[in-house]
Amino acid sequence: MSENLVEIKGLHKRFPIHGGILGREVAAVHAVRGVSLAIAKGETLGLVGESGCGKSTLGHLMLRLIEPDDGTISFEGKDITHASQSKLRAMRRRMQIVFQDPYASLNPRMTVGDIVGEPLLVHKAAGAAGRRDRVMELFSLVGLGPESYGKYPHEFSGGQRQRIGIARAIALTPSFIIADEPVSALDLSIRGEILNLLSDLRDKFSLTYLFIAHDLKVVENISHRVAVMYLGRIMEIFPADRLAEARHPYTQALVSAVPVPDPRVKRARAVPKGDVPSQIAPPSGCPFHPRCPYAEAQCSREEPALVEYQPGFSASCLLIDRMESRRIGVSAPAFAGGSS
Amino acid sequence: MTLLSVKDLKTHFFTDAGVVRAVDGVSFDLERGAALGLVGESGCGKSMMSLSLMRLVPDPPGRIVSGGVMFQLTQSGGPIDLLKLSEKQMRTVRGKRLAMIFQEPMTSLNPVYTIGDQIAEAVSLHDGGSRVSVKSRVIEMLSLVGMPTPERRMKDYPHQLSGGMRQRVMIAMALSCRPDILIADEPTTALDVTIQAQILDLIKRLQSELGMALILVTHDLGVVAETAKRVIVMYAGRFVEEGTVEQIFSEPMHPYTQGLLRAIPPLARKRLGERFSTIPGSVPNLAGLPRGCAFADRCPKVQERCRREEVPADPCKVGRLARCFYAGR
Repeated sequence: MSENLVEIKGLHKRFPIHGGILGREVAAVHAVRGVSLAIAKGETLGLVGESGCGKSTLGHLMLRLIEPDDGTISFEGKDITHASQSKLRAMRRRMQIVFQDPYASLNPRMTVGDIVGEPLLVHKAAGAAGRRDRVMELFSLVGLGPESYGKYPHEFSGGQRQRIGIARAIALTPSFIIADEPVSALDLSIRGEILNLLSDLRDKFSLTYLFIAHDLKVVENISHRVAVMYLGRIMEIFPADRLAEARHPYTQALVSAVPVPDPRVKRARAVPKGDVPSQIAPPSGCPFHPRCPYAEAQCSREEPALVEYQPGFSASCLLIDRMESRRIGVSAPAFAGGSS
Repeated sequence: MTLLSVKDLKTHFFTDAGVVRAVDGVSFDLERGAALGLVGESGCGKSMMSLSLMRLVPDPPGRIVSGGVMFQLTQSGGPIDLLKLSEKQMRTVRGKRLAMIFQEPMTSLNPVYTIGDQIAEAVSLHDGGSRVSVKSRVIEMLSLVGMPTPERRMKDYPHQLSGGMRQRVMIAMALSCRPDILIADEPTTALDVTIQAQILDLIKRLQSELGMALILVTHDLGVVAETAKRVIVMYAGRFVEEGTVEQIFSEPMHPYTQGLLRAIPPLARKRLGERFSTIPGSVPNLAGLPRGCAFADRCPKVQERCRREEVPADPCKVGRLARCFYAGR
């Protein structure tokens, strides 16, 4: 993978909190604190983190759905940090988003045909007749029947609704799609279908994804690289198929906390103690130091930078050279084969 | 000793769209101190099952239409059917002998009372005692669930606590009367994965320390594998498979259990671009289920017979509940 499709440098976003009778700013939520990332053309970058770590805010910043306080965003080689609204509108044909909640993200009063056709209308991409043909084509791409055209969202199950959201996202043949927790609201038995659909579309249209999720298992299985985020910062980036070699204590804590669906595996957990600190007053130095089992005095003073510690692996940890990759006990599931 | 014996329990909802058989004839036994996992996807009836045991089914439209919930309330006497108790009698059992914690700790706590007051209410309602003894019990319960500086935190309101801490308060409240059975309905679903691990470890520790029985209701097979000794898999209002946790995970017999286990993405995959395993179709509408097996439309092994006949508990004689004519094949 060569060229970068999306590149962000030093992004910051804080949400001020107003209080008192004068409505003065009394504090701020530091959602994203100096994040730099590059996503190559055709790559799927997974972004994992616990709730409130800033992963969705980061996704919205990339599309400029919200404005950054500092830093730059470039897309297809052009700096779009300060692009005008009319320029952005043109850019947005190329960048789309699929939302988590397939119930809240579809207008209940519009037919599915109108929902999927709306981007074509807004961007004047097709006339009335062409629009219907294109919508039908999109339906078949995502596995919806043509009879869906005149139906309303409430007539569909969660998985089917997510297909509608995906059809809408690919309507204008974008090059970049942000999938923000696309399967978190779905049952286990139908998650796979949506993930398979997203991979198929990626291969068919050489799409680039930012795949945001809190579930490490899902992210790791669909991505090329995984970025782990905590309290507004990137803690580690590693190749998705080499999770076992990741060394950051927070990544290892996340892995160790995932329940293993195999009663024979009895693993010693290294679950971090305490709660996730508030984003209003994040800890000094390394944000993970109050919960980190290896923290030393310097960790509360110095902010670690994201540095490459072995080819393909970068981490923000002052002690990374002393950390070892744990042989994470990730065996195959107990029942992997079929019995057919 | 059998503590709780549920026999052919049916909870139906009478709606405009027809009768929804949320719980449709389920039976199981729970031993004293046992850890039972109840697994199923959304809409399978697992929450209604646990609400039925507590007799908290929203009525109307719901109603427990038949069955028995036999509870061994005393050491010597015979079991008592909870469904036959008056509401007043039930109140002496609910919360004291049979307690429950819910998924969303924020909506289950009263926002205008301190957490100390809320735990104290549960204690004085069931056990009584002086103000001083109730207060010391509250502090004892809060430290039992790992709340730091309980004397100070008992004066906090729910909004001052994180999600994990709120769930600890819920557990403290549920356990304050030392119940025989704790029903935990998706206790960690609203929590982040690192906090989930802490709460699961806490529930497991308290369960063995206090010797109470646990019914853990969840959609997460990983949570079940780490917490339960016996597992029941529920689909469309019925139990489709039951076994020890080892049997369910190593020798699943029902095609639905097998499909669910295959659908879990592995941690550390073998190669890039591997397909995700899925179960085709979606959960059927519980109003107006057709005859025969409710899983038939999604099943890879379906035969004509499956749509025609009711499936008995163990048609293939595998020695445990496996509601499939082709179990294990």
